[in-house]
Amino acid sequence: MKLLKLVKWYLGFFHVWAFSLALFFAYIFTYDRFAILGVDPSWDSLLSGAESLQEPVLMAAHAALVAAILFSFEEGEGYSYLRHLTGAGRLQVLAAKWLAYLLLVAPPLVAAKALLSVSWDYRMLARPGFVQALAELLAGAALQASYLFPFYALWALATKRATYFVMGAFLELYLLESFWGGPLFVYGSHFMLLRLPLGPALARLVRDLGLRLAASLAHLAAAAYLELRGEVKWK
Amino acid sequence: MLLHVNDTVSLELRFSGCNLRSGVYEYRVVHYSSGKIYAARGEVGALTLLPVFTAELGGVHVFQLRVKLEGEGECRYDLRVTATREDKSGYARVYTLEAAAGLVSTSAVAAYVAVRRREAA
Repeated sequence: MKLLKLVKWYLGFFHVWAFSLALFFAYIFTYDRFAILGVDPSWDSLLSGAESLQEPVLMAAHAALVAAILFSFEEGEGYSYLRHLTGAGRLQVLAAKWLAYLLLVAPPLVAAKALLSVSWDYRMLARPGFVQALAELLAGAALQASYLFPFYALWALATKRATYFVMGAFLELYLLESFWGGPLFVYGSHFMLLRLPLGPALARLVRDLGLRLAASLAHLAAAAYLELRGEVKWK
Repeated sequence: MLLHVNDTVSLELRFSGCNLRSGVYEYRVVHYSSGKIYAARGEVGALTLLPVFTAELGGVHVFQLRVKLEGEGECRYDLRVTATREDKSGYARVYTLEAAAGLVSTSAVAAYVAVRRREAA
C-alpha cells in the first residue's frame, strides 16, 4: 500500500507533466516542417536536422521553471512527504528531485525531434541506427539538463523566492546568453550534446566547457550543502 | 540532402578554361532509407542543365554525379545546386492524422486530470 501511495503521490506531483506536453508542442512549433537541409546520411541525419535556434533557450527556461517548483518552495513541494513515506534522507531527496527534473525536462525535446524526423521519413524507424541515435540524443538532452541543474538548483535555493529566481534566470538567459557564448554557454553545450554522437560530443564538451563543468559541480556541492542543512525558509 | 515530397532539385554544370570535345554524365539520386534510385545520363557541354529531380518520397537523398570528359586543357568546373520547395497540399491527409493523434493524446491527459480532480474532491 505504501508503494501505491508513493506512486500516486509521484504522479500527483507530475501534474507539471502538462507543462512538458506544452513544451513538446512549443519545440515542434519552432521547427521547420518543410526544411530543405544538407544533411549527412549517418548517425542521426534526421534527428539532428530537427532543430531550431530557439530550442536551447526554451529548454533552459523549462529547466529553470522546473527547478523553481522543486527548490523555491518550502521543502520542495511535498518532498517532505516523500521523506515521511519512505524514510529517505535529504541527499536521496535531492537525487529524487534531480530524477524528476530529468524526467520532466529531457523527454519533450527528444520526443519533438523524434516526431519530426519520423514524420519526415518514417522508414528511418526501421534502421537499426535510429534507436541508438535516439538513445544517444536522450542521453545528450539528459546531460545538458544535468549540466544546468546545479546552477538553477543553487540559485533557487539562494534567492529563496520563486519570483526573484525565475526573473533572474530568465534575464540571464535573454540578456547574457547568445549563440556566441555566455556565462552558462547554453547554446554551445546544447548544440554540442544534441547534434553530435555522444562520444565526440563528450570529448568536445570537456575541452570547451572545462571551467564551466567545474563551476557546475561546485554549484551542485553548494546546493547539496544547503539541502542537507535543511534550512527553514521565510515566506 | 533532406527533401520532402514534390521538392525539386536542379543542377547546373559549367566548364571553363578547356577545349571540350565531348563528355557524358551519369546522375544518380538514391533515397537513403528506401534505396529507391533515380538515374539519368546524357551529354555534357560547356553549360549543362541536368534534368530536374522531383522527390517522390520525403527523406534524405544522396546525390551522385559522375562526369567523363574528352578534350584538351585543364577544366575548371562550377556546379550550382538549387533546391526548391514545391506544392505541399499532399500533406493535408498526414496533417489530419497528426491532428487526430494530438487530439486523442490531449484528451487522454485531460481525462486523467478530470479523474484525479474527482478523486480529490
